[in-house]
Amino acid sequence: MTGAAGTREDAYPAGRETAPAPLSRHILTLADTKRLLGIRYSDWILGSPSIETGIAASSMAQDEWGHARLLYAMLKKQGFDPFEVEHTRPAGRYYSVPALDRPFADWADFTAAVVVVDGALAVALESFAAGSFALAASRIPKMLAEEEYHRRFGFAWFARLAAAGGEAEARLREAALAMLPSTLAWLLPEDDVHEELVAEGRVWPGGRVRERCEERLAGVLGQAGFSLADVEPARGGWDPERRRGPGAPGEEAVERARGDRNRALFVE
Amino acid sequence: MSGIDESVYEVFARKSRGDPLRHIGYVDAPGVELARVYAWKTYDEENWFEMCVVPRRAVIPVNRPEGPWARNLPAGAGNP
Repeated sequence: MTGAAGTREDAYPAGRETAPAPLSRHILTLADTKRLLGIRYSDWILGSPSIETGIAASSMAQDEWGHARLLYAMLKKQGFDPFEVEHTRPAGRYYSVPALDRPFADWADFTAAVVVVDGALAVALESFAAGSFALAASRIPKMLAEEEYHRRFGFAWFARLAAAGGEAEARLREAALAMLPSTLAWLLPEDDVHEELVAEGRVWPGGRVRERCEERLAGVLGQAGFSLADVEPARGGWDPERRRGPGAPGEEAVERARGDRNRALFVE
Repeated sequence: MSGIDESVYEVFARKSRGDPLRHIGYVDAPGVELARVYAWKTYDEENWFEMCVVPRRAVIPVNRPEGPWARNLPAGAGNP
C-alpha cells in the first residue's frame, strides 16, 4: 500500500514502516473512536435505566458504527484497504481515545461519555466538515444531524443525574472529570502532525476547536459544578502516531470491533 | 440516584407534509427532552417528515369520560 507521498503507510498489524500521514491519522482516530464508542454504548442496550433508554443506546451504538464505516471508507483514497484497517489491527494499533479503553462501570460513566467523548467527537467532526477535505464536507453533515440526538440524550441525562445530588451527582462529576483530560488532549493535539493538518486547511485551528468545545459543554458541565477551564489536557506519554496517550483498548472490545468470531462468515 | 419518575408520552408522526398526524405509539420518559429522544430513536423505522410527542395526561376525553387508555372498566356506565 502506498500513500500520497509514495511511502508505505500501513496502519495495521505488522510491517508498518512509517506513521500515517496527517489526514490518515485524523480519519483513523475519528473512526476508531466511533467504533469503540459504539461498543461501549452497546454494552448498555440491556441494563440501562429503562427500556426506552436501552433502545436509544442501541440506536446510538448503530449510529456510531455507521459513522465509523463511512470514515474508514474515506481511507481508501489515502492508500489504505478499509477492510484490513477494520478487521485486522491489534489493540495496540487502535487510535481511539483513552476514555474508551475500558468498559463503562455504571450509568454515570455512560452519561459522562455521551457528553464528553461523543461531544468532543462532534466538535472534531464539525471542524473536519468545515475544512478542505471534500469527502468530509459531503458526508459529515448527515452524521452531525444524527449526533444531535446523542447531544440531547446526553445533556438530558447529565442534567438529571446532576440535579439528583448525592451519590449520583458525585459519580457523574467523577466520571466526567476522569474522561476529560485525555479527551481534551485528543481533541486539541499539540504535535507537528496536527499542525500540518491545520496548515493544510483540513481542520480548524486549536483555538477555534477549544472555543467550540467550550460553547457546547459549558452549560452542561456547569450543572455538575465545574467547567472546562478547571481541566488540564493530559498530554503525558503522548503517542504522536496514534494521537493519544499511553495504553490501548481492551482486547475483548477490539475482538468485537474486528468481528473476530464471525471472520469465517465475512462475505464482503 | 433517586427513583425514576416516568411519565407517558404519546407519539404522533407523519411521513409527508400533507399527511395527517398518526398515532404510532408511546414512550415512558422522565421529561420532555428525553421523551423527544426516545420517541425518535424508538420509532425510527420510517423516514418521518414530522414527529411530535404529547404527555398522555394532556389528552382530554370528549365522549368517553374514562379516556382512551382506561383498562378493565366494568360494563355499563358508557362502557359496552
